[in-house]
Amino acid sequence: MSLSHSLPKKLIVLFLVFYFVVGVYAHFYIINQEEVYLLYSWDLYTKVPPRIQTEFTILIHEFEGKRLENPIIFERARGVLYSSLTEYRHSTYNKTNIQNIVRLLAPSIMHDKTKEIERLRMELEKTFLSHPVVYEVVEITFNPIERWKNGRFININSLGIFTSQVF
Amino acid sequence: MNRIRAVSKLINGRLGLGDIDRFVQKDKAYERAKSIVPFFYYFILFVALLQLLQLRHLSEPLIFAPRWPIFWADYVSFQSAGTIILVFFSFATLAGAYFYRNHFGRFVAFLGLLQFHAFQGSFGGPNHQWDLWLWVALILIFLPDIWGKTKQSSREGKKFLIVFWGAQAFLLLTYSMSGIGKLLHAALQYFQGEAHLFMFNSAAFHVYSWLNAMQATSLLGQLIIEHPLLGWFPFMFILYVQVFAFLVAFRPSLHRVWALALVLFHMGTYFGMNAEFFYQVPLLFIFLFASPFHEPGTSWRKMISDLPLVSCLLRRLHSKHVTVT
Repeated sequence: MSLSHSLPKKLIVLFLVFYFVVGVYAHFYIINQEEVYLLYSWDLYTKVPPRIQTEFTILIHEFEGKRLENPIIFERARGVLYSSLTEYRHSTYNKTNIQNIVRLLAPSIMHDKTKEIERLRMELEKTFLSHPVVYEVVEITFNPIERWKNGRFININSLGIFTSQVF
Repeated sequence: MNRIRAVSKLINGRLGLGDIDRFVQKDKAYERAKSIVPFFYYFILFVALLQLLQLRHLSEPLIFAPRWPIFWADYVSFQSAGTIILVFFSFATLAGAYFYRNHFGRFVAFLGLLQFHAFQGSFGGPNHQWDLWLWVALILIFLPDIWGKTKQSSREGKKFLIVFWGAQAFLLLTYSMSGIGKLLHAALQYFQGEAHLFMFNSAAFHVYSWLNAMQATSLLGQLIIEHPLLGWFPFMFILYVQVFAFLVAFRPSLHRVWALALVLFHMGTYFGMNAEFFYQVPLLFIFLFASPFHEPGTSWRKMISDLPLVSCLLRRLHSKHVTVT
């Protein structure tokens, strides 16, 4: 496309250049602060997640007074925790909420923020762990494909063991 | 000015950008473009009407931080703000659908979309589903109002097509930005010794991380994680389609096939990662698949020779052949 006297053409070109430049700038700006509204870098799925990842989750050790032979990771514990669910309890089970709470709870434990720990534990135990449960907050290190295929972790780092207080 | 032209010619030559003057001068292209534009407004009206269903269950969210276009929402209740915005969106797009032939109608539709877009992005995080619709609506405001004329000057027709082309180019630019971002991060990650795009299980890592973050499942997620190559090849294909998308703006023979490829990309991300961006699809069909610049009956040979990288290779081979002979 050759630039000529045409004003619409020049404006279109300027707009495209502007959007590209500001979008790229927005990609770096977002690292420190929130996104620039209306301008976006479209850098979706650009960075490949690492081969070795860490995550916070919970392991279930005891349920209704029964010690489990092997602790079950939360994402596989639904059948154990909710084998006799009422419809109401079923509806409060929200995996994303649980994940979000655990992601906040774990750092609070690591930084010994007592009030925050109590608050988040209550949130966690209120919404879904409504039976007497002994659970452990852990930091797991894993290769995602290995974890998916055979449930194996590279390392499990315990952050604390708790007994649920809400029935 | 001569220097600017010289530089732009150099850039155009290096990047293989075509000359849009060549394909915006055709009358048939103008007639087709005129008939395509209303469908943008018809569709956005349909979307606005569907959004009215939200009125049934508008409840105070945990976070509501109005973006600047709806700054006034801070002074009313959430229910009032939501109702006003969604109702205004529906009437504004109705005005756009009925009065798309003039600037005012298109501007009002844009306003409605801007309010809706701001509303969608006011719940604690951005919502990019409607970004492209909003910017395209803004671009289309600048179309000349010549529907009513029985005969328009070639200058007006050309201006119409340039603005239409601007909407096409913008759509394709966003895909290229995504593709170029992927390439840049691939290089960075490679040199940092991290997992990178060209590793065979890169697609599997993406699928796992996204599904895990969203606590979701997908139709092909398990298959891709267990057999990473099944995801890698489509991933490389999509990388090619995205990186060179902007070049396709200058190659009308590829408009339709690129639209199809991008639609398949959106379907693929849904089947693989349960991530949907389906609202881009009508834009791809309206502006690319139905491109007024694409000549019906374009040969496969022409399309192949216009393919990015392939066209460079063919040019080199041709020039070597000419030199030898």
